[in-house]
Amino acid sequence: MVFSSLIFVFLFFVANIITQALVTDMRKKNIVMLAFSLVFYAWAGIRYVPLLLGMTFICWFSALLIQRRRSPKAKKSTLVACLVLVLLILGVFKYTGFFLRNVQVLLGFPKVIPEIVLPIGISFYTFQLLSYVIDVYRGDTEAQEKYWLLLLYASLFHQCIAGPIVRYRDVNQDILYRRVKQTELSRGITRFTVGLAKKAVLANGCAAVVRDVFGIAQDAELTAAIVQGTSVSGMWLVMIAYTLFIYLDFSAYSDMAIGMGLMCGFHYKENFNYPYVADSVTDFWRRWHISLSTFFRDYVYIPLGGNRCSKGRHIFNLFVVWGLTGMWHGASWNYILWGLYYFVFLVIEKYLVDTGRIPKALRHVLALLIVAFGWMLFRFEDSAQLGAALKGLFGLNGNDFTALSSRLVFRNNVLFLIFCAAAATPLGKTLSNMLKNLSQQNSLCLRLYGIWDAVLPVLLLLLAMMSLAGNQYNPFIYFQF
Amino acid sequence: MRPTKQEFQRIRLRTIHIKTLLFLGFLVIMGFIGLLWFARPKTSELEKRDLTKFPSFSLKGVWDGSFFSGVETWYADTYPLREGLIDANTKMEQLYGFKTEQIINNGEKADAIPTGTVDLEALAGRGTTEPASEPATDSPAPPATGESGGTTVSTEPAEPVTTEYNGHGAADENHDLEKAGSIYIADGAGYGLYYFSESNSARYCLLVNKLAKNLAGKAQVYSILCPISAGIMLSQEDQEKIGISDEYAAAEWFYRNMDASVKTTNVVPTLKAHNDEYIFFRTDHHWTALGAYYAYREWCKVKGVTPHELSFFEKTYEFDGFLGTFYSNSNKDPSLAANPDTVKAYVPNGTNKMNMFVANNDGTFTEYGWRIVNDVSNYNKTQLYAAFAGGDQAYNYVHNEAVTDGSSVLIVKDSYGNAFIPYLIDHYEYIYWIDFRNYKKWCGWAGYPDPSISNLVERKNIQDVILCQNISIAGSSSALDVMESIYK
Repeated sequence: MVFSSLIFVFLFFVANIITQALVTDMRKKNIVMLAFSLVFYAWAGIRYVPLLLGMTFICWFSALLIQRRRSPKAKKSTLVACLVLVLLILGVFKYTGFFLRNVQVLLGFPKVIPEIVLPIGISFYTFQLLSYVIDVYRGDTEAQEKYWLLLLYASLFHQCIAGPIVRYRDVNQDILYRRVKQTELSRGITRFTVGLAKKAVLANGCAAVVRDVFGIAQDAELTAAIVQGTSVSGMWLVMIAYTLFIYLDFSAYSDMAIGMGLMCGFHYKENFNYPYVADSVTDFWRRWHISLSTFFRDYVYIPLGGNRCSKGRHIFNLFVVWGLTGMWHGASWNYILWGLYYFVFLVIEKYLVDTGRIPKALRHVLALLIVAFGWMLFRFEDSAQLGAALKGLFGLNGNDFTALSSRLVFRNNVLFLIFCAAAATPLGKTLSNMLKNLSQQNSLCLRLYGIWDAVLPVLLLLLAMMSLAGNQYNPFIYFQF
Repeated sequence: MRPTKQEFQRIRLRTIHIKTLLFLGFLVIMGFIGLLWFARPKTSELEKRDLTKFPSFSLKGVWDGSFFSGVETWYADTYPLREGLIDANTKMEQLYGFKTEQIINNGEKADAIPTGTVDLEALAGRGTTEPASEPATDSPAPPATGESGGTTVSTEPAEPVTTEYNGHGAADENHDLEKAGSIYIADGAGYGLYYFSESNSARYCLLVNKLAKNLAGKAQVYSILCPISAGIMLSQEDQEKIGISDEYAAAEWFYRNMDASVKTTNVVPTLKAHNDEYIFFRTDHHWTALGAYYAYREWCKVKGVTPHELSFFEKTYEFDGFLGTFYSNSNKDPSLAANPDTVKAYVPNGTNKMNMFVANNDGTFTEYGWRIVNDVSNYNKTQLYAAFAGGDQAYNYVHNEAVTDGSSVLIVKDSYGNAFIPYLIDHYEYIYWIDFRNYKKWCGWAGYPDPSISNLVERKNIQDVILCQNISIAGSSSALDVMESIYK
């Protein structure tokens, strides 16, 4: 189940908030929340549930052992054993196919590569559980005695399958003692509906722009040929629309998670901070998928020595972190390439170019271009398509600068794309704050702001419903008559 | 006036209460509407499809998640307010830019159309033209008389039955092979776009040639490739701008690579000469009865018969307000909605009675007496093209008693053929037509183990076989996969 589906919003979510409000006893509240979370998770297939239960059990048991063991050596060996086991499981499910495909290319065997289905959310909940065990090892948090409460943390449907990667120490108090404040409930409602509309209307709309340029071909070879035949301006349009899509999509999920959390008394940290206003690659990564970058910072980069080491070692540390960041995103070379692409730019910014000397506007444009180009690496798992797309951006496919099809897609969506670009900046937040400030200074404004604040969520829900119904409308309509 | 702290607190708190109530109230009401199972639509007239059914429960489906994803799709697909929401969404999307033209389902790629002859087998990408022979089945022998198998069949002469058949046959897994494909919409009219595929087109020619070989000495094969509208209605310059294939050159390529025994007619020049007339619908991918008529006249030249003038037809129908497949495919484009089509149909003089076999949901077929040109004035406005030849039923036949020379014709068609068929009625005594998309299924039900065209030709002693299909479907690999089993 995804948040942006009618059945989630009108059935699952409604039932969840009503039961959370009606059940007052915290233990029962948590049992109900766990039941909802497991149903949510099992929706993708019960076959994935045992893995979630098992991974949680390994981490729950390991953390208890770590806490109970006296000697640092024993603690460490337990931690290492847990990490190896959990990462091995993640590796088997996520990377076996990728690894064997590469072996096959190099050595000609194995003949048959097993198709292992990636369990939904495994990358997110594995990292959450790992952070928990490491934090217990470091003494940053107490081990959870009750397995089911740790399972609630790992499976909490708000963030289990698409983040943000929440630290146990950040939500432990909420799991045990959460209370819903009225102001937070209100903020949560707005945040959730903003996220839902952002996903359903804006992100899906940007995806449709990409689809309209590249078309609907399913076949990889045909798609590569279409990408190769796309005009230069069409390719840039795709790059812009995809850049907007990926931010709006991902941040919308975080908005919804944060909003739903607030409605139930959970406080999740911000996962995005307007990454496209960044003026450097370093700045971008401070603003993009913050929970993932801080995970790698706290659990990989700093333990490796961070930047308090020799230049060579520091570059090595960055290489490892960005190689892993790329790999985390998917088992394909383009993701690794994408991670290492950032490694290169981060090293350049750190050691070769003083970005402070570049004019601010130019710095911003450069950062955006680097990020947008990076998304093209991210977009195409198929190497033929990727090659054609990269060449196409620079007019190396022998196409015209522009073509009617992409011109029409642009003209038909230009206002929408401008709106999306504005939505990726703090403009909305600034306007909202201005209104809020105005409402504090004038009674009439206060009332008008109140009406706006109360009606906005319903309007956003309506817009989201329209888009969700519209997008589920099958564009391949065939004819019996 | 600046609000006091108390006033500010009071109004803020009241706002929060109202906001929460509105939000929860809205969700609960929408959730409640979602639970009204009886209000959930089952079919979409606009999309011409049955909406998703509630999935049948299976442990395997629960295990792999397919059951739940089925529930999710069913919930959204049949949500009671869905059509209204789609309409509202389409209106909202008009604000996204300056939409005067658009291309829908872009993303097909045109191959260059080679001149000269080609090696069909090499192009079709196969070493042999003979597919693996199908295993013999134990199906019962075909009935000695009548057309029917199963138990629900009438073998009486055609008497229109209007009370039972509701215009819907069961959805057939192959009925989606013909699609509007890529569409260019400009100035309130849609145009179907054609992209030549060399390898698929070669496959089509191989199939036609094989059929012609099998029918040599038994029946004459005709090929009419029905054009797609953009190639006829748009200027050469516009066609080049969009990047579509030249339909005349493509049809020539097909015909050049067909066996010399196949009589062919390239109708592109004639239709182009008439492109200031109403020969293609604006909101639908089909040609109009007038468009089909000009093609019919061209076919008459090849056949060597005198075509009937339009004035020959004593009865005509006109149905207004048609909003066809371009309209539904474009999510109800408002510029198309503002330009609905009129469906004009010419009723054959000899007879307007036909028999057809309509697929039921359980895989059986029911035979109905029907009308070749049917009054569809009560039909949904998106379905008015169903006026012709009973729509896309698997197997249909007519005995025109006004002609008594024993002549017979079989039309193998997709829906383009529907508008063409009425003109043939007055030329033959026996007229049969099959829709290639579901004919094999009908044969399976009727007890004919061999679904080939040549088998039907032999059984019915048919003299002429007209392959009347649109040029796009003749280059569609999934359609060719289906043709494979009957074009022999």
